[in-house]
Amino acid sequence: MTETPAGAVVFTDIVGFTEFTAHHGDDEALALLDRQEKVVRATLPDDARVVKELGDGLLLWFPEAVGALGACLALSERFEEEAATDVPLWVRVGMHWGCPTRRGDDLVGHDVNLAARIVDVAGPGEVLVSEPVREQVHGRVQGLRLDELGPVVMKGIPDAVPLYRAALV
Amino acid sequence: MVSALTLEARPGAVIRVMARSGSVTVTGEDRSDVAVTGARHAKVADDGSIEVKARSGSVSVQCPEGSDVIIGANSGRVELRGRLGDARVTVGSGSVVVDHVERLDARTGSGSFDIGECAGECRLKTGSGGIDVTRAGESDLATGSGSVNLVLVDSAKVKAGSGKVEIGLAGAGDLDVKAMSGSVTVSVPRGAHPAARLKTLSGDVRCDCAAGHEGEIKVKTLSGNIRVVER
Repeated sequence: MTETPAGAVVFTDIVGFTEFTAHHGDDEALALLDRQEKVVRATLPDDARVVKELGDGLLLWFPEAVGALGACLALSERFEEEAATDVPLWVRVGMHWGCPTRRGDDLVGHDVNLAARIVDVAGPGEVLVSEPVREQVHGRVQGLRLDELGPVVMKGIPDAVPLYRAALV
Repeated sequence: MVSALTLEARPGAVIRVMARSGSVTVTGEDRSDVAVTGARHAKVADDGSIEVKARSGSVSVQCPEGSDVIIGANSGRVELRGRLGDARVTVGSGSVVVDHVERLDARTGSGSFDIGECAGECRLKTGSGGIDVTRAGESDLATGSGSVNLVLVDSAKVKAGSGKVEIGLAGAGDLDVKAMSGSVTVSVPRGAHPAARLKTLSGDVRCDCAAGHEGEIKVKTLSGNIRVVER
């Protein structure tokens, strides 16, 4: 196992996917996943990668914070546009900056676990970021607004984690 | 464990509560100090805010009316009683009950919201759980599964996975509802003339109001009936 250089670990998650599948069936659920994948592939910068698919979510890796946040906000906007059509694609995003450990093509470790917990806190259409992300992007993204949620207590994470809701104004 | 403690609070001090599990109750009342019971740790922080930490069990904080509150809890019920200022609440799993706040940003992974009055902006997110609000200003609400019942709001954006949605518009505010499945009922003041754009893929649409431009009501659901009624 190898520690990777610092980077942004991002989880995405489709909100209400289980309910959607239960009500509309597997075929429509698969179409929703295809739609998500298409949006993600079209939005990710070249230096980012989809680490793995997790059912209705994705684990993404970005080597640079400003580009990562820009991509996440663009993703959120694209998903909103998609939701304005017939199929609701409500995606939430959690982002953390750290040095995860590489295991083959996968990423593991505390920073990955933390990013996974962050997305659990996000509501549909929200991009939530941790304090290290805020430090990385501070003053470097024009029109960026970061609203503090306050310290968030998360299962399995010893200390409360300050989180911010990111949006462009 | 701090069984009971009273702290001198400077005017406008923010109350910060972090709890790993167990219930959290913050009550805004006619007093100038802050009383804490059931916490592991409570102090006045360098920035003047009141910092309360609890590990398990019930923690209770009584603070001056109108205090701003920030609460982070992993699991357990959170109650904001009395009159408080701006409130930010994050709970991993557990319900949130609020009497009266000026503004509210609250989220829970799983659990319901029971909100009395939020004078201004009201933002609520739950992965699964119902949302009940008696009165709120501009609202932004989302639930993955669970019913939504807004008795009276100025305007609202609502995303609902599955469950019934009922919303009362106080006036000519805008409304944008996107629901996956479940009926949506919007009530407007008698004689209102909103611009209504209602769409369901499987269900009936009925609008009892005359068309106009007094606010825009947009409702889209994949399955379920849509009703816009006068009250």
